[in-house]
Amino acid sequence: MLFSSIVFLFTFLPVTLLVYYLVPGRLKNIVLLLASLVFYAWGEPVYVILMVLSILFNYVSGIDIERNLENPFKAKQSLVIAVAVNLLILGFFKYYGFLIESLNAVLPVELPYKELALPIGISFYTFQTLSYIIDVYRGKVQVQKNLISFGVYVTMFPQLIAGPIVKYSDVEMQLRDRNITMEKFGDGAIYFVRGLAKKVLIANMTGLVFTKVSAITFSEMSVLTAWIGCIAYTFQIYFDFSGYSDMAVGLGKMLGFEFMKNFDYPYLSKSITEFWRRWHISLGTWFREYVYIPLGGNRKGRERTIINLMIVWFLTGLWHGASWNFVMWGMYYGILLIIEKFMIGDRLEKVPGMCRHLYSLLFVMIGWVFFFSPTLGFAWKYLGVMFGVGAKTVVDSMGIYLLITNLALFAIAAVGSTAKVHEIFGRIVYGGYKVRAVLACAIYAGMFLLSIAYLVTETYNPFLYFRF
Amino acid sequence: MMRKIHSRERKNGLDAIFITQMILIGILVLYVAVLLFRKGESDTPFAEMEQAVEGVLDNSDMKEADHKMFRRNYRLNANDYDGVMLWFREGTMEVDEILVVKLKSKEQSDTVVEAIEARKKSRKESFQGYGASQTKLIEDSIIDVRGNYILFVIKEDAEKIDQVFQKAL
Repeated sequence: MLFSSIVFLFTFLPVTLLVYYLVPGRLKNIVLLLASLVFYAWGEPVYVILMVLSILFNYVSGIDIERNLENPFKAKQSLVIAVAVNLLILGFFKYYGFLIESLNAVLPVELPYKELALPIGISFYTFQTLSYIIDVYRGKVQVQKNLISFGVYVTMFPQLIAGPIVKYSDVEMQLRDRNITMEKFGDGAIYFVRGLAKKVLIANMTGLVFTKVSAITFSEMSVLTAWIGCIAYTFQIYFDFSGYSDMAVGLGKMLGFEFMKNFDYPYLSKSITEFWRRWHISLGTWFREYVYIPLGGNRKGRERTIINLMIVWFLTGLWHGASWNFVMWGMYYGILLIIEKFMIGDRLEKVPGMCRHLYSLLFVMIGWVFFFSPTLGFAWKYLGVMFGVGAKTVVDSMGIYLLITNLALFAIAAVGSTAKVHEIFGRIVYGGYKVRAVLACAIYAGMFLLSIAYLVTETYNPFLYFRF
Repeated sequence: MMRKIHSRERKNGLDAIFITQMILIGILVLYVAVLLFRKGESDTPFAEMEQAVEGVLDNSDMKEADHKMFRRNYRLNANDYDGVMLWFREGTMEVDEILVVKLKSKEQSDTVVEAIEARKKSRKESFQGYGASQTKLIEDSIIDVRGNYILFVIKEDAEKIDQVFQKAL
């Protein structure tokens, strides 16, 4: 089920919230678990069984690890089994087809296989269960003996299918006891409406521009058109994913939870390193805590740090999808981060802020070409056109038309990518006067109504990160 | 208390947690095997499938094609199948098309998929070079083979129709 669907907004969410707020505290987790299972089963009736099995297995594994903690060998053995099973499940459903296809490309024989559809959200909930298992082993969190609470942690519908990836340590207390107030509910509703508007009014609109450009064949595409397509996608993915994350954080608040923010105005970054501190923060944090630091991080010398960074970025790319262009995308960032860390980091600091900002944006946009391309070959060709190789011309009427008709949209998206709008908005509506509260309500109601008007007339528009 | 029970169980060679883990792994393997080897045949009557897919087309200006048109476009005979449903949008620049076929036997699957691929190719060739949005729609079309049912959609909301199709199976 999509957050930005009429059935979610006008049936699932109101019914769930009503029941959730009516039942006494001890029953809230049961309501949340059942609602989350319905939410998932709506689109994945077969794979809900997989998720239930994953919950049961990780629940038992947590208990197994905890009881063996006094015997380090046995505890490690339990951890290895649990991690291996989780990775095998993820690997099978996400990478099995990719692996066989890659083997078939190099082997003289054709290996037969049947590729299964990717269970939605599997990458997100597997990383959550892994964080729990590893933290129980590390003694960082207490084992969860209440199956309902553990089930809520894995299935919680606000962040189940596209994150943020919530570490168990961040919600351990909240699963037992959380603060549910009307103020928090209101705050959550604001986050949700803002996220909905980001997705529906900006991401979907810029997505239309990108779709138009990607329909043009390379021989018919000008340099200008290729850049417009890339700019459109750059805005689309930010407003789509950060919009989803805002909705997830908002829904969490409405249910009494506090999730970490997943974005911090990433397009304001002045280096690639800074960009990754601001983009998909929960994924970066996960890889740092559970892969980079256990590998030795930067504590084992320059060469080992480089290897560790490349491993992490190879895995980050692969996490996004079973395809070589995602691997390339991950490696691209690995190399850029290594260059910044060991070669140009100090010199970059001395460059004027605007130049650093443009440098970051340019390389981020090039990165998105690998990300949106269906194949590596497509990505190279698209990049070629962006820089004049194989392009029809530099500027053509199509490019000018797309630029003129979407200039206002791009300007809104550009301003919306900065903290300015939020600051100004905050100053205007949160002044403490009653009239300003009314104004805030009117603005959010307007945003909500506009989004709904768009939703009822538009076609199916899933979130980009659903396929991961 | 819990620890005492565990240690007693382990001494007796019975480890409930370990056994539970192994049972769950066994169920997981079995579940994956079922997903991989299930025949996937649907017993949904064709009329029900038709109703479900047509339900999404409400208020759209698509028209239902007859068997002659199916034969002309796909070079297949509708009577060879348990059910055929073809919807299209009229107009020289329109590409929207939805086809649902219920097979009589799984052996027919390859023939139908080949016919669909041929249709897709010829539609693409018709628009390539001047109809950018039409070409894109054709490229993004969905061919979904689910056991004895096959769906082919060229439409902007192809994924939505595919979801309805899958739900109706």
